[in-house]
Amino acid sequence: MTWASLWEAVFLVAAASSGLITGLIAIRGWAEIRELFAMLKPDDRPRP
Amino acid sequence: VTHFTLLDGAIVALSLAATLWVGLYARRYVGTLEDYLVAKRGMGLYVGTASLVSTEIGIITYMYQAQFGFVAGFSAFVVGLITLAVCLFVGRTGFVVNRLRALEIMTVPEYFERRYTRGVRVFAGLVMAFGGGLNLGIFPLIEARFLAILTGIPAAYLTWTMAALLLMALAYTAVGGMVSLVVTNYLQYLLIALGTVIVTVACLRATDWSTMTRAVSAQMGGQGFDPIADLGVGFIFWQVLLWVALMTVWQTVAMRTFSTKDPATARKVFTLTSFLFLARAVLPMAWGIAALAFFGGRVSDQAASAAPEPMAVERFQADLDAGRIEDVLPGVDRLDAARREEIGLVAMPWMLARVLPSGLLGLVVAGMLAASLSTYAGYFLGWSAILSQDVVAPWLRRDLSERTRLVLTRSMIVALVAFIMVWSLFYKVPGPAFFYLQVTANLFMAPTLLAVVGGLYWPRASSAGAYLAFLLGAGASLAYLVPSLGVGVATAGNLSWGLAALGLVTGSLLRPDRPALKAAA
Repeated sequence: MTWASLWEAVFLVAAASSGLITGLIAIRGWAEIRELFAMLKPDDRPRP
Repeated sequence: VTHFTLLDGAIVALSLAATLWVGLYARRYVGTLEDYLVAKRGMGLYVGTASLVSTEIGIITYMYQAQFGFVAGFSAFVVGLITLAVCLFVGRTGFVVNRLRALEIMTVPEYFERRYTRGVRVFAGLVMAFGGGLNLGIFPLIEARFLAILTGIPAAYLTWTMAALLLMALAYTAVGGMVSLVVTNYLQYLLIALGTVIVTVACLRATDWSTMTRAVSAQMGGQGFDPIADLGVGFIFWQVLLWVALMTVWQTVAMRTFSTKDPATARKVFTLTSFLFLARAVLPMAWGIAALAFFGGRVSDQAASAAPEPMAVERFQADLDAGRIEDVLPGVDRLDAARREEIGLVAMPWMLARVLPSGLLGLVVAGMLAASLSTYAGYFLGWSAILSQDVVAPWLRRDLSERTRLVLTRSMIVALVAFIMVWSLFYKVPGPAFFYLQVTANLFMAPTLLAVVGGLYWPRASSAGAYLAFLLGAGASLAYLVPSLGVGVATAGNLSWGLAALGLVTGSLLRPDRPALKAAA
């Protein structure tokens, strides 16, 4: 394998894997934010 | 040259307004200092990953990576592989992060008080806040150039634009802390991802991979592909050490570790982040190479065959400011390194200004501003947390109420914003931005990681050793920032690590901590 083909493969892996993970973040991240808000319910806590 | 129109301005304004609204809305969920600094340690895997990555990507990141690709060609990609390997290593083994997360601390220097002394905590906090401030200090300087090129904002309004951005990040960070950051980071990550896809596709449409390969080959020969021949083993070794430190004890990254639900989630965040960090390096480096190929293909035959005379400074600067990169490019191999780096910093944005149509340009600028806002906000909170919790509060030597500590942290954020506004107006960066940023990080990264690793894994590590590590490690990195000393970047980087290690070991062996102190630790 030449350096040039190695760098082309690295570029493709970077683009494909980041696309896949971004999809997961977009879908599942929203549910996690709702969970976080539920955990931090404002209720009667004093406002800093 | 830019096609930035009212439509683009509206897209950008809408995205900024949405971010500000979300950031301010989240403040109602902040009740305690723990909520404010680490979001009650309730961050999940995907939000944690989005928060970490968006904090560590700013316009400046894309600019210095593109600059590195422009000047070093494909050899620069080796840094992406190093980040991937290091991040995967941390994610799989939990090296350092597992133990730090289990300690339930909120800042890295807090660990130094538990393991060494309060004095080490304050001293380390000072060095970290100083290095972090210097690092953050050039962000607006570099990013303003990107925005000026893409949006065509006149120079007279540029300082005000940057000031408005900083104040916006200040507003929601100061009131909502980490809770605001987590929520805005999610939104910002999606905008960054959209902008990144548009820019990558635009680059590959403006040129193509084989043209990029030919351009690197023509400008740099084999060195543009072989990182060992181009950058050297010393540079690669230093990068490995630096990335281990950045992934484990860099305050903004560590705060995400501390904010996760548990150590297992923290490890998973690093595993996911590893691939995103590979892209964070490799994609913008490819944009820089695309800019080299794009402008290289537009060099006129007349310019290419011109006599090899060095270009006058005035003409060089005028061409650069007007985006006539193809006019300065033929002389690149006859220019000094500093001027090559100058072209490399602005070539990518100038290419985008030419190839992106209105509409897409607005989306890209919105994505880039999201990147910058998330970075500013994350760094404001990170460094101000250290200044307030690890420097000022321990120095006052009395117990402060939670409310006072919150006020103190918010005051530090305001002070930090004031500092970087002034610093970015007056400081002239020596060498490439990439190196400046890494050296200012290295200033405290080497001693911090070594003092943490020594503290966690070496029972004999003492506070005298920790002090010495910080003094020697920081001194070596500072040498790079004084151009008259002529210390190269890899030399300063490796020297910093070597001296910090030497300081920790000799200080610990020559002056061990008293048994009572150790028992308390």
